[in-house]
Amino acid sequence: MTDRDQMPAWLAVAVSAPADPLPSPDHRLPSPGDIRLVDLGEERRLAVLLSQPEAGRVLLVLLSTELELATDEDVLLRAEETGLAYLVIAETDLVGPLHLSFVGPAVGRLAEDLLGALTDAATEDSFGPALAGRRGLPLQGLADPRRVWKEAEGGVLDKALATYVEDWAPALAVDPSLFMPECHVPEIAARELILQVITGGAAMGAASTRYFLMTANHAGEMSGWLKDAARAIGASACVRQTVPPTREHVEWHGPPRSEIQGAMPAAELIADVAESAAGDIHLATTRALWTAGVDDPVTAQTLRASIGGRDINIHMLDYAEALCA
Amino acid sequence: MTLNDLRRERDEVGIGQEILLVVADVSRAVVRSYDPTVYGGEASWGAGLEDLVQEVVLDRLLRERQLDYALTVASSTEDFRRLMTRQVKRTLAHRRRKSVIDNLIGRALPILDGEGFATRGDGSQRRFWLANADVLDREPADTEVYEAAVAAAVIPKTPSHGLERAPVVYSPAALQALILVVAETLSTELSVPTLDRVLRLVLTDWVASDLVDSREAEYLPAAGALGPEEAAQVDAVVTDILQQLPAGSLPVLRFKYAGLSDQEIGGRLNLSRPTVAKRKELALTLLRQHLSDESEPVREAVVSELGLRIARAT
Repeated sequence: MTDRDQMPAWLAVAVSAPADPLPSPDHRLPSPGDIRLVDLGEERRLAVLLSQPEAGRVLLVLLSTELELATDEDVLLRAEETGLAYLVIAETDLVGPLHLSFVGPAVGRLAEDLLGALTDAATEDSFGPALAGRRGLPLQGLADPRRVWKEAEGGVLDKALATYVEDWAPALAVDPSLFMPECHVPEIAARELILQVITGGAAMGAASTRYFLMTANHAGEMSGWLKDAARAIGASACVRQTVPPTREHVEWHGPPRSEIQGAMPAAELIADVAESAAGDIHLATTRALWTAGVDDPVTAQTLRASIGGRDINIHMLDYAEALCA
Repeated sequence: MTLNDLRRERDEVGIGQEILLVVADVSRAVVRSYDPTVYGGEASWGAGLEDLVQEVVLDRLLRERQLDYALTVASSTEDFRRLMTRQVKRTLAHRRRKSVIDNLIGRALPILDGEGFATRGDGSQRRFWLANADVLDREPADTEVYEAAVAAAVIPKTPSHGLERAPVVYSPAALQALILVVAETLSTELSVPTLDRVLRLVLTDWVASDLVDSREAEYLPAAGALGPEEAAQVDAVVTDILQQLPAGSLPVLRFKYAGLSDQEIGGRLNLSRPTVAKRKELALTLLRQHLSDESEPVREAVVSELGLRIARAT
């Protein structure tokens, strides 16, 4: 092992003081406020538990050390508040019930006075005074690169949450373009739309209706109930995005919306769902997505090949189109 | 070398040869796709690589304790290398952000030294404030810095494709507006470190572009100078919009430019959410009416110029 004499001089100076030992993993029973290692399949991460275990699952919010990427949904937690040696952000828009088999030992614990505030932020989208000055700025439009990071983070969590869903086939994918900003869907109408998707899933032949629900809601104020809706259909989270007035905002007032679909094109959406679903794929979509490529014979053939020859059942929903008109 | 070897080395000496080798190795791989003139201040990565390794180790792994994080969550040496790669990329992103912000602060100082501002102190202790304002003699709290950043987020940035060594970020007029907005929002004196904190928040999306492998470049509007005729057209359209903007819509639009939700805008303006939504819709409808027949470059320029004038007007 390393001898200090062999170190470069700059490093020898920097590590002259002995380091604190790494925290010993604590295998106590999970309880709210625990900061635990969680196995998300592709990577191990840290998360704060928000609930007691129930039916083999525990509600948690994902942590990240990517402080530079924090949005207004991300809350800074200081070392003295977590027992960790470093700063983290809690991604309050990435919350979901993870099966206990993926929840590892505790490595820290969130201060009691912050746990309630963080729970409110993650479950009610309500950021109380305790969280003031700890958040990043909102996403600055669709060109903001943090949006791509958020989508990737959501995707990682979503796959882990989906792993232990029983009756997980066939699946229903909810087209995120149902909630596109240019639709200006009134809240009450959007609620109905989501309900239609949820209740319609079974009628469409899907045994489970689950998808990572991503929204580019132009107003941003729907995120609270959207989170509820996302959970109601078993989705892990939804990313709230307000859209400041931009060139795109003007252009998106009417179709086409190829740019936003670029963020989650039909092929990606279906392939993503197919990866974690065993049976046929059901896609609830709008005409806009349909015309964006799914009805193209070559695209359809490619998609079928990519999901192992399973059928893609397209369910057209003109409801959103009518609302946009 | 196993993960346990690395953990043992960390517990015994902090960082030793094994960890250093990993950092040097991943740094060498990462910098291949980074321009040394932009991220290293050198014509090539030869000498700059050692500086980078030193910075990753001292700033990220030791000062920010990211080594502890990596060794806590890593489940294999490959995982540890992936996490170290991330730290190298973060360090490069920080370098670029620092040079961008230093450049902006350099441009801001003559504005703060100019007409309309009062000043006291020397060197890094200098403090500035609007000459006609009463301000508190203390450092602003985190919440005050955040509010200043929200206000400054309204100011339009000059698009960049991430390849420039010293991107402008703000036009001279936009930077002046930003300084004024920050000074007006803060109830305290403004110091260079405070301005640095505000800019770090406001420029989050800039540093993010170095950290996220994305297709964002596709979304960036094409940069291009307008001709005199188009510039006049932009000026006329913005003036028309501002004159026709319904009462009460201006502050709503200002916060909308900062990306706040209707609920948060309502909280700041003491309005109900439906009222905010209504005022916002009136403003956006007006925008659409004025822009629907314009060319794409004019639309972009109008949206940008409107943000700037709203920031100045509120």
